Amino acid sequence: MDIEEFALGNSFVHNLDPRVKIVCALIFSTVVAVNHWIPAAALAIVFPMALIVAARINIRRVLSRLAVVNTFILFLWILLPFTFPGEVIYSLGPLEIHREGLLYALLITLKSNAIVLMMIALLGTSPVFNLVHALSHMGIPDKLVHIFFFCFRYIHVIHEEYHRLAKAMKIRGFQARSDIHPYLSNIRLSCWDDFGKEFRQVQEDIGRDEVPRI
Amino acid sequence: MIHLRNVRFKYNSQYILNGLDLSVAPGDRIGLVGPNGSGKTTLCQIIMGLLPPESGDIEIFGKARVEEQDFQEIRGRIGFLFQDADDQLFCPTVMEDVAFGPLNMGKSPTEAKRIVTETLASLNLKGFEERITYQLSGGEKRLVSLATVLAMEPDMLILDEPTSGLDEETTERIIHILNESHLTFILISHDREFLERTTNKILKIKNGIIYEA
Repeated sequence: MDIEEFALGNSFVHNLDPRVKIVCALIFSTVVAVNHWIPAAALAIVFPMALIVAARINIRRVLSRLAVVNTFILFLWILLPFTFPGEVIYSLGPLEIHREGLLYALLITLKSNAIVLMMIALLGTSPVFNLVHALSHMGIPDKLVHIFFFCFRYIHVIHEEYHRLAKAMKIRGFQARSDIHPYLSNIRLSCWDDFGKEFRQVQEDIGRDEVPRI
Repeated sequence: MIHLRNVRFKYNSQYILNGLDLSVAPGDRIGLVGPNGSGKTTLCQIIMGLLPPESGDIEIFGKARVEEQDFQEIRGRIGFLFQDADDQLFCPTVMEDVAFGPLNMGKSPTEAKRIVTETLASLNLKGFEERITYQLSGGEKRLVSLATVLAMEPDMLILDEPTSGLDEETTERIIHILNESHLTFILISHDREFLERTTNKILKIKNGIIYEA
């Protein structure tokens, strides 16, 4: 996992001003989120797709990110058709599949994928540090900017920690098995001690009190 | 014990190991030297199966090692010490950390406890059992890391800079432990004197291949 895996590149999408990207992503997401018309939601997917093609980023990696999002959406497909009131189109014993439920699940799927794709196309193609600066230049309160950057950094730290732990366990003959014992002893407490250190580091990285503006 | 043939490994589109050959026979005490970034650590991690080489043959204990499963078998027999002790230790207490290997090797909790006590005693770490691993000092962490490796009773050791940042006394202790043991080992180090006192062969890694130094 590399959050910034699409950030490096030299296309017109990569070279857009990050402030423009943030504003466009915000407007696009709002419009898509409030829309209730399925054809419009389907059409909305086309825009980020065009940008992703233009940005020449790895399509396979984009799809694997979408797969994660759609795993969550899968649960809506399991629940909504049975629970959303409306016209019954099929009966499975006591369970009834409703037309409106299916359409609602479809609408949510289209909207979520369109928004996630647009985030990848616009925000994913800028290094996070550039986005932090852009947010700061746009007058977003420094506290919020700090929190955003801190989240990004900490996801990275936890991920690194996971890899270190996996290696350390591997070389000591650890093999995943169904027995819960090995996992119980392996909560790495030092990670939580690092938390404060990390936060100070973030503050140092982006300036003591505010993000430096150039 | 170990035969590597024509191993290549690429990092950021640059070859770190470029057709490297290495043979380790039983009884070999090898010092591995080379400039920073020359691939010493990479080489050792390839032997342990932590990094997959781009190409080349790896034969360890008389068997070709390709898949993760092939390497699982060797990890109990080759003790590996990471360059950074923080990469090695991950359990809350020293006891749990040192016992982790033996327990994975199928030892019973009582046996594991006995091994822990013995190993710690042999490293002058008596009474460290209940200490919190991440609160230890740098040198203590290094010694406890070595204990986690020795507790698995390996046939061979690969130690990545075991003495860097250690005081003279602790370094002496490590030299003593290595010379007392009858294990085959590979030591990565920049400390020539340390290598001269512990090894019987020095190999230099440069431009992705190994020279005898």
